[in-house]
Amino acid sequence: MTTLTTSANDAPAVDAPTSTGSRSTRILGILILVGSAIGAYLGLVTSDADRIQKDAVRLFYVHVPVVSLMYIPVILCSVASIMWLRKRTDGWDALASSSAEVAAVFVGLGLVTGALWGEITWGTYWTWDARLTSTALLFLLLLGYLALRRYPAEPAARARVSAVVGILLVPNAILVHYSVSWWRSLHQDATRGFDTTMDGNQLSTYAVAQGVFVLILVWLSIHAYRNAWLALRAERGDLDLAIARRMADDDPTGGI
Amino acid sequence: MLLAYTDVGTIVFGWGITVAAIGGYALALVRRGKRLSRVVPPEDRRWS
Repeated sequence: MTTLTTSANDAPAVDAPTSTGSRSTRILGILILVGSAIGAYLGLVTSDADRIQKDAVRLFYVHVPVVSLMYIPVILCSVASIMWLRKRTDGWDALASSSAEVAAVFVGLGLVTGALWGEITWGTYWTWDARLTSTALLFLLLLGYLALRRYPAEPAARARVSAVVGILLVPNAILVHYSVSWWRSLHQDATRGFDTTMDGNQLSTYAVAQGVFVLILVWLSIHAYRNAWLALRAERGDLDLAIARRMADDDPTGGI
Repeated sequence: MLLAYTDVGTIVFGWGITVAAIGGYALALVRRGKRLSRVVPPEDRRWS
């Protein structure tokens, strides 16, 4: 990979960041670390065990925030894909690409933590239930999208094909969300807001966990977006350099 | 206290894999960001 205008050894401008971090993401990072420590203490130590599920309820504080938030990057990816097809700007392409990456992490974690919780409560890690199957399909679609993003092709063509796949994510997410209503399912119904019938300190522990995962989603999304943006700019730099070299090769004067 | 929980192995694994996945992804993002920042001109890094 090469630079556009500076060599790798050139010092960057004083005010240019040397990473994807910024003051706001560092503050966010500190809040996440503190919040995670508090959340872990509440979830693993002070939270009451459930009357029916016993201590398995402690997986609730991880699984539910992850799956409830996974829809946000999925929707963002689809919206950004539609916007890229309309505007054709790098910003929308970077947003679509980065959102899919974050979504894959959240959906994957939702599947794993759900399987672990299912093993305790249902007696099996996996069943071809409508909710589980549609979530697995969403995860596969996200992996397919990310594989497309890494395909070595002309950037605009790759972005176009990716955008088409990205748009398909939202119908799949709708299928995931309503699968428990549309089909008979082993999974519980869709959760609507905070369940105020939760016993003891479970509701407050869940509220802290949900808050921490919101901050994590924001932090990851910001960094992933900046990464995707930088990758697009670096790729464009490579392309510009290749074109310049090709033109110099075609120049009978040798570019002098 | 944790050791006395029912299904302690599954609970710890569930929390552990969540921390590992998110922490690992966060670390990968930071490293990739630093690497890419070295090859992209300052005017394209506008979030400071």
